[in-house]
Amino acid sequence: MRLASRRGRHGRGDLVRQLIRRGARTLRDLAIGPDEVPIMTQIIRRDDRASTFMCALDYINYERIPGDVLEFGVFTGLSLAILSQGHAFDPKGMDRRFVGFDSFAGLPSSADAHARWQPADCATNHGWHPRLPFGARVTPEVTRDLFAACELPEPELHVGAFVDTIARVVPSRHPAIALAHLDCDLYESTRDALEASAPALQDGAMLMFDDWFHYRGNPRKGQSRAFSEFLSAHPEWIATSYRTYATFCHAFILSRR
Amino acid sequence: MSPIVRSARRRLRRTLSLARDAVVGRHVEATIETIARLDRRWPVFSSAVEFVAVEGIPGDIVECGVFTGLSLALLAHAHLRREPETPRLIVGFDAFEGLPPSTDEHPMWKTGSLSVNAWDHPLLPIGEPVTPDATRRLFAMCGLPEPRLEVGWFADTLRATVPSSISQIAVLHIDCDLYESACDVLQGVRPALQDGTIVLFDDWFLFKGNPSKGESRAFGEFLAEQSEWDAVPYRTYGTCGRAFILSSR
Repeated sequence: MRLASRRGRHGRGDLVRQLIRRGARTLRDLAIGPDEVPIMTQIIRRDDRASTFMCALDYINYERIPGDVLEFGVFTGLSLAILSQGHAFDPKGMDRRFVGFDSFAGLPSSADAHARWQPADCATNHGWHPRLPFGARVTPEVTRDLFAACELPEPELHVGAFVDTIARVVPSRHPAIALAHLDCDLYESTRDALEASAPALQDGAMLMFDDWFHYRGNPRKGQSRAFSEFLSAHPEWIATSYRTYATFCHAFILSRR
Repeated sequence: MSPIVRSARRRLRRTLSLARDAVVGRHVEATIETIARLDRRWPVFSSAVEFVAVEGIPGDIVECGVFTGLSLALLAHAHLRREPETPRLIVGFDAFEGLPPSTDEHPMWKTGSLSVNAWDHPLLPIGEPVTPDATRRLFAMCGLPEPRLEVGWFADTLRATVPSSISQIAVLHIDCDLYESACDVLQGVRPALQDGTIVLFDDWFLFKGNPSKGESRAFGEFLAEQSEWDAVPYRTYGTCGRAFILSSR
């Protein structure tokens, strides 16, 4: 028998006790108000990537890598908010802006078909979010509202296709990049984001690929393909693997030869 | 809200919780959740199972080296708590006779080691013989459906089941410490490996991290004598663990 579901987890006594507990909790919350776990604490507890984001911010601050933190693929703003919080905890005297790029229109089409991601996915919310219901439309306001709710300084959001928006502000408005979080799933998007960021990347910059092991870990597809092509086209950079983290992610440090 | 009000509310909340616990009893964490919380390998087991689910890697979850069943139970839990669309067998292979002889010397692991329990376990006291029944009872206690256990030496049991009844493997947990055992496992599972299979080595850095000993020697040789697979490094974890994704060339 192949296992697809679990049965008989609780006895009847357990179920009754569980219902009483739930009832008691509801009554208590009604009487004195619900427990207030700060929004950022809720986000960090639920996100497997949070500890690596914190380490990455500490790294660029300790090593004094100058420049801004750019995210390609903002979606509902959770990862950009954790990165911004990581900086707010202990900026070590570094001044940084937090910048997000996204079309907010969902994934574009790609030459590589994926088992799960289809064009236009990610235009609506598909995961837990403290301020946005499941299935709601994803807009730049969601991220601005999240930052305000977490009492973080407002991020800069550039709305549109990567090829248009990045070239408009990098390197003119953002001459230095200390950390780039590439959370855009596809080969084409990752390639465009890396190429457009190239003139602003700093020696020691951290590149975090959120979707590195998609396409069954195949090194000739997705983000992995885009980064190896980038390194071949830019022999001035050496990439050092920093760590793999969460289910699909891989971070690197870029060093100038 | 002023700090005084906040602190009063916190105190009131705590009193109400204690009163509730006195009436209906304290909330007891499910056994499997306690095991997961205490096991440093759990985040990677959970990620590996999520990976094969999201990427649509077909096949079963197989462990070679079951011992007292804790890691097999965690893999089953990681699979079932996702309410999976893809049904997968949970299979454990073990002789339950402790370690066989090996050419590699280790200061702690000798021939016959691990035939009795050596770590904390919710059912089996330290020093008790390790049997397939301990794993079955652990699964029952955790509310997990009974796993399939193949009792015997890896070369024999894998030959009898792969690929005849286990034709595809999505997650392979190799937890057998020794070079010879890991060689038997890798040869035995070969026909069931998939593009995207995750291979978790529990004892990768054993033998002082020496790459020409133990599981890392076995995997190095396995990769060198074939041209079908690339091994993509996935995560290092726990004290000695390292995981790879097998990718079709």
